[in-house]
Amino acid sequence: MADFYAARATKNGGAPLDGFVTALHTWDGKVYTVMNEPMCWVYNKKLLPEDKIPRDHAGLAKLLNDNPDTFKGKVSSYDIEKTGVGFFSVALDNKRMENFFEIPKAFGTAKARFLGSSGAMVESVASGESVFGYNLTCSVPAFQAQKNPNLGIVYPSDFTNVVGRVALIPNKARNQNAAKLFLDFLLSKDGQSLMAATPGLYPAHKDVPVKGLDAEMIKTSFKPVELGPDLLFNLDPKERLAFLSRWKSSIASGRR
Amino acid sequence: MLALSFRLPVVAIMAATVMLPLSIIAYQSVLSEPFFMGGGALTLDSFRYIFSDPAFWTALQNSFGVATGMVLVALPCGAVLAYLLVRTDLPARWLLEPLVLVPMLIPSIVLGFGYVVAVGPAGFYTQIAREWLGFAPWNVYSRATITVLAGLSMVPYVYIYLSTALRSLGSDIEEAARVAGAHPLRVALDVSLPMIFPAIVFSTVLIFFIGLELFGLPLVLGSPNGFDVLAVYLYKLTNLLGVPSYHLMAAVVMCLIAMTIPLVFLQRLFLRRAERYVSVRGKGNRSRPVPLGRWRWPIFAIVAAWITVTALVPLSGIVIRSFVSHWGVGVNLIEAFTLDTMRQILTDTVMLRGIVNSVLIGVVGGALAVACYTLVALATHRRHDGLSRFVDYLVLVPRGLPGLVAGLAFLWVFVFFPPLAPLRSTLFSVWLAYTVVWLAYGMRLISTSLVQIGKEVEEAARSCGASQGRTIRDVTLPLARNGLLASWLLIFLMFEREYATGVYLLTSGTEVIGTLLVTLAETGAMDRASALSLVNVVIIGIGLGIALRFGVKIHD
Repeated sequence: MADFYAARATKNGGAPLDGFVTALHTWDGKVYTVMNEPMCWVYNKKLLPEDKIPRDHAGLAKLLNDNPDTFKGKVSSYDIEKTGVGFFSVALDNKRMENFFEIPKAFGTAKARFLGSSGAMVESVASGESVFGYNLTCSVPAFQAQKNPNLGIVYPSDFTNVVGRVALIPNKARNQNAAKLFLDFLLSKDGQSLMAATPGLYPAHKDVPVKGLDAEMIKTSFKPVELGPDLLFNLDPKERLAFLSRWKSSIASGRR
Repeated sequence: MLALSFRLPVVAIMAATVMLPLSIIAYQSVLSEPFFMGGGALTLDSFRYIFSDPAFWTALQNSFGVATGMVLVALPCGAVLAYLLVRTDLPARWLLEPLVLVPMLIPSIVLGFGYVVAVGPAGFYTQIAREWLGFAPWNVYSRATITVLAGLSMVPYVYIYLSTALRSLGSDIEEAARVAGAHPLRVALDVSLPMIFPAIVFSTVLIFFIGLELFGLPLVLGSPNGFDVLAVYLYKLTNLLGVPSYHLMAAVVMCLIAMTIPLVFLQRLFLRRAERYVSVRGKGNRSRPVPLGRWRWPIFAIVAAWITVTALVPLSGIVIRSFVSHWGVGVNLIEAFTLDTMRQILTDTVMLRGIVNSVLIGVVGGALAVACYTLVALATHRRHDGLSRFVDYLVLVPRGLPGLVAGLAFLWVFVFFPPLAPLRSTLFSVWLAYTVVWLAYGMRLISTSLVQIGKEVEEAARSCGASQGRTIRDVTLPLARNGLLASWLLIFLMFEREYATGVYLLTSGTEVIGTLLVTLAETGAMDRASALSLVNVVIIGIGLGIALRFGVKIHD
């Protein structure tokens, strides 16, 4: 990994860090979160009645198990073997809640389909092939929801994981100064405001106003992921394979 | 026929091109880390890992099942179709022939998506069927459906090989059988079929190979429900451990290559006496269609139904998806109509560069590939020595290499082999990878045209005092000209639709439509993926049209 250690931003070319929740948004002055992206759930407004919309992690498994007619074959989630972000998001869920593996078990019972990207899940839910999609990077459905009135978004109320869109400058990057200037721009008020216009994202800079998301919700249920070496936990092959095998066996036990 | 001084260098260059990426993969498969990180130790751990992984065995079993099923579906359908279109008075053959090729023109990843949009659980046709019948009469996600659809999409390959063989077969033998009172069906089964036996064996092996490394269709239709084949297993290894597990991927590829060797051996065994089937002699031949009588229109209906299922259904899905912002249950498609997606594609510089590159690689690259294949074919033409045997095996080995991995191996070659490094971000890298991946397919097209030329024509030239080179130049090649032009067209088609091979080679300057499609589909941007593949189909259609207009004959 040594090759990918980011260059430390210098003071005069450095990023204007004031105003950032520093512990969360930069790691050792090397990796910077430039934008926040919640992991949300989606549902089809035409096909899922109001009382069956999942609202939090705690109640999700029960809701799926109690309503097989509504959900059977109609739940989508990430294929966590195929996609890093899919794996990461369920690994976070597991850290934040007890009995997490009830959820994959309920997926097994509901004969959930496991897809390779948030885009594919949106396509599946928006078309009505699925009625519910679990853990999507929110910019994708938020953008689609502008065009498609059938697509609903849920930010789970017990906790909503928030991942960072990060930027870093590799030590061996050829144009260090240009990269630093660009990073500065990304972290400046102008850059942040520009990116804040993207639906489903919210700025890393606390002085830049949030658009399209409830500021109160961000304060209470949104749980940003702390940048740091701890995140490497899911790159340890042994732990990763152990988690995958537990995930798979939970699904299999639900199928029976 | 040719001197060793020509044959040896040609075979040597080809062997180097094929073996270089292969040896990198072989080396990688016994290392514990990516070879370019330097620190890996020699070990068989990768093989130990995959052999103890139940998912590997399931995927292997699934791949064998799919490949066998595909052969069982594609071979009879393709054979019947070739016979009907080449030898009988089936109506509207001029229209059917280009239509038969349509399934070949759609990358299978897009084909998969086309089916989802058209006949998936929420698809347009499924909704109509549900309205009429009250239930959905098909399940596009089942194993059986995936196998049958994959098999049907291979029918054009069988059709091309068999119809090429049938066409170069004088119909005089069939007419003789007819004169002797044989029924058309009997003529087909007892005369035409045995005569094209080599082409049948070759198609079987080729489809089996394609089946073993089938990727797009099972990825889109099967994988979400847990039905994974070998190529999808391989693809999952990229992310399974968080960082690409190149050593595991290489080990899987070595297993695939190991499986190709007995198949090639079997094929050689069957074709040992290919000479028996030579039929173009130094005399003219003109074919006369076999009358189908009252069966003409029913048979036409069946052929039309096949084209509908394999081409029109997924294609209509793609067309509709290109022009709506969203779709599905309760969506009014007219309200969702939009030209934005198409506009985005046609105004994006990267997309435009990809479109131009695709045309270049298909037209110019296709011609260069045909030239290379022809040189190799000539080097083994009418020779049954060790060198020819070597080439036979060599040609089929890359066929066991999934396009995705072939592209990765070529990336390594271009990055770590200094003389080639400057060509890394040029279209040449993509061309070389394509040419090697489609080697077996192209060589077969060309050697079919060459082998059908009677030995005595060449011998006549030789006895008049012509040198070997001159015989090739003035007799063999001109006689094979139609075959070579048709090969160019078919290679053009293959290069236009190829998608997996370029994925790892994708960088600024090497964009082609196929790889851009994969990139779009991976992020789930199916509207733009559909629009781009529509552009692709149109380009291919134009190419096909021009070729046919200028007299390239894939039908007489």
